[in-house]
Amino acid sequence: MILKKVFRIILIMIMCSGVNLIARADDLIIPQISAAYFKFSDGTKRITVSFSARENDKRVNIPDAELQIIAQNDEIKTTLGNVVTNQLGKASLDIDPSTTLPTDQDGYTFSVFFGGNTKLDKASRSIHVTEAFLEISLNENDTIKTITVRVFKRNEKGEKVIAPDIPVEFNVKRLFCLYPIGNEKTDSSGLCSTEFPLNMPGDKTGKVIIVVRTPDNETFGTVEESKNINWGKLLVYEAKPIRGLGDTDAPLWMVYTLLVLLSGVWLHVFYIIFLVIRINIIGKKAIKS
Amino acid sequence: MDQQEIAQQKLVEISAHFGKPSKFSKVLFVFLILIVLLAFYALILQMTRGQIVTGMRDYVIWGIYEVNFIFFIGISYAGAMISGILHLLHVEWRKPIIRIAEMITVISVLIGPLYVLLSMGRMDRFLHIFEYGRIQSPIVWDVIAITTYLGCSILFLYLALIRDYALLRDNKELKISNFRRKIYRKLAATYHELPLQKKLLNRGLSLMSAIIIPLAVIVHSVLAWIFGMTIRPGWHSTIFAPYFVIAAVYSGTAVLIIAMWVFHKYYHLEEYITEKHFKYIGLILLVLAGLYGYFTFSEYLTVWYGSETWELEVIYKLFDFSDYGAWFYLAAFVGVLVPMIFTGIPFFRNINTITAGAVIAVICMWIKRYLIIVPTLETPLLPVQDYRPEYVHYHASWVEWSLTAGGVALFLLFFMIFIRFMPIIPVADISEVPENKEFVSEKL
Repeated sequence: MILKKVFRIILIMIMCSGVNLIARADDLIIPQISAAYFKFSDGTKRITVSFSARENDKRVNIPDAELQIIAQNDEIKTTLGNVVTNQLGKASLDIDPSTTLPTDQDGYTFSVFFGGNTKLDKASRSIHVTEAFLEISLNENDTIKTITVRVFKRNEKGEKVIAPDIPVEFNVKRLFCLYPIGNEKTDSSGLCSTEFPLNMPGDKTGKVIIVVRTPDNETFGTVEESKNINWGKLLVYEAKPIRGLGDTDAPLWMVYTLLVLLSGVWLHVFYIIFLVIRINIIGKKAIKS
Repeated sequence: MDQQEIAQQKLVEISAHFGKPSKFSKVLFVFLILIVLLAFYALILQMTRGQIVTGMRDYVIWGIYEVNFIFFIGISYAGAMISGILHLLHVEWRKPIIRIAEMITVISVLIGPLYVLLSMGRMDRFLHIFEYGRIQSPIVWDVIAITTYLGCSILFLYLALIRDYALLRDNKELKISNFRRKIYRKLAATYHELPLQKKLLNRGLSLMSAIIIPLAVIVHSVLAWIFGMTIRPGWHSTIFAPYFVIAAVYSGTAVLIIAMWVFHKYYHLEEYITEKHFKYIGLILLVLAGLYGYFTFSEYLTVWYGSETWELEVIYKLFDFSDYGAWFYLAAFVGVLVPMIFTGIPFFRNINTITAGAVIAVICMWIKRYLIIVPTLETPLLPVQDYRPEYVHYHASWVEWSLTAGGVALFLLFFMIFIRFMPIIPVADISEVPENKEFVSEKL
């Protein structure tokens, strides 16, 4: 009987420890990686990564996590670099246009890895992007100015072919952001176009930068192309000679007030110094006499 | 015995109190020197390593250095307002304490601006304010106002000292070295109590008293405008200038009472600095405490009632006990009510309680300046991206505390040194028999 009881206790203890082991393994949070691809008009490519996890049914961004980004095909693996996530769990890596990336027939495959730590499990994410090309042509007919874009993609054979039915966004570059002027889809010949607004301000010479892109495209990522043209309204800057708080010259009332106050005080100070000198002279004369 | 002989006799009497330094004085002197040396080491550290050794970061760019700056400029009001106003009103009882007030002014205006330099990331660029300063900037106004104020305060103190320098020059009983006598001779400007000399000196003093009052008001108003003209919660207020002025006079008067207590008790000048002086200055402190309390209430009630989002963020930080609540209530209530009770209720009113009230007022006024600067800077209008945790809460580093202690030590050291070379009681003034014996003070 006693042996039976001891055996039962040992069995319960083993089971409990087993549960603990399982629980410990379960304690590791499984993070999630999402990645996006950008290609800018100067040829720079950018991989942006979001790193998060679910905790208490809420998505939580994971800051300060180091992630490795590689580009690969069936034969070659090239490490592009490591990035560390910011407070919002985001990080990005810019790839110089001169960098040679391993390619598939139609594009690139990028993988993002997280090695895991005491709280987070390992995680990885791969994205494949088909290489796309945008060609901008600008036409001016009377007062109508048209921006036309032709979208190409690389097919499985590595050939550059027309890409139909692709959403394209037309923008004009402003100081801090892109100003959207149209959203279109390419037709069967890979073309789409939009009119340039006549009242769009440019710089002193009327120059504007037109930026077209395929926003967050599932196949291509965001591919961007831009072109400069002097279609904008001329920016006429009239420098008005104002004396104000923000200018180099202070408002006149301020200058006069300061001068009156300062001269008022300092004239009195000099007068008092003069009085002291007079006291000295009077004393000296009295001693002599 | 003529007036000069009485004055010489009083000079010898008063100088006897400042004769050979006591053991305590020597120990205190060495202790203060050590604190100044520690502060100097902290200064070198800050200059070589940069402001990273302080608690100041991208959010809180002004820490306790700026608090000390406002505090020292505030206590300089002791001389400017108390001495200036009482002189203009010909209040007779002012005479024994007027020198202490004037010395507090000069010493604090010498020390206060040093903290502005410490707040600067690049001290070597200080001269750029004069080279490239724009008149539109309240910081430039502040530099102009403080330098003018310093010049006028020194001149005011010097004018008041001329007659005593003449006494020291002519005194035969005191053991004064030839070198010192030579300096006194120069400083006395051959003053011999001639009627014309006396007339000119009095004219100079009256003029200086009249100038120093508006000048002091301008200095502290400009200081307030540095904050008030910045559109930040807790600072952008139209009443900041008078609020700062009242707070400054309040703290200046409190420091004057503490200094009076030291000379009354430690240097045994009971004969000159009497209980009457404490009660009269205590009554001034009472009125100022009331005014300061009124301004505090008015400022926070208006802002709280307005319920502007950003302003409320700062207000709730000040009201919340888990944040700055304890310090706020200490500064706003204890710092006002306790000095009022000690100076206002006759049962409590004596030299020690008035001084205790003054000590509380001084401490609370320092805390109040901290509460003006730090919580506002911890609440930026535009959040900094990817900020670090230490940006959110400011904690002064040991370097800043050392330099703060160094400033206080320097203030006391200057006092200890000055009183050995100039009489702390205006001997010539108190020896003078007033022409009209119906003093204004008696009416008070």
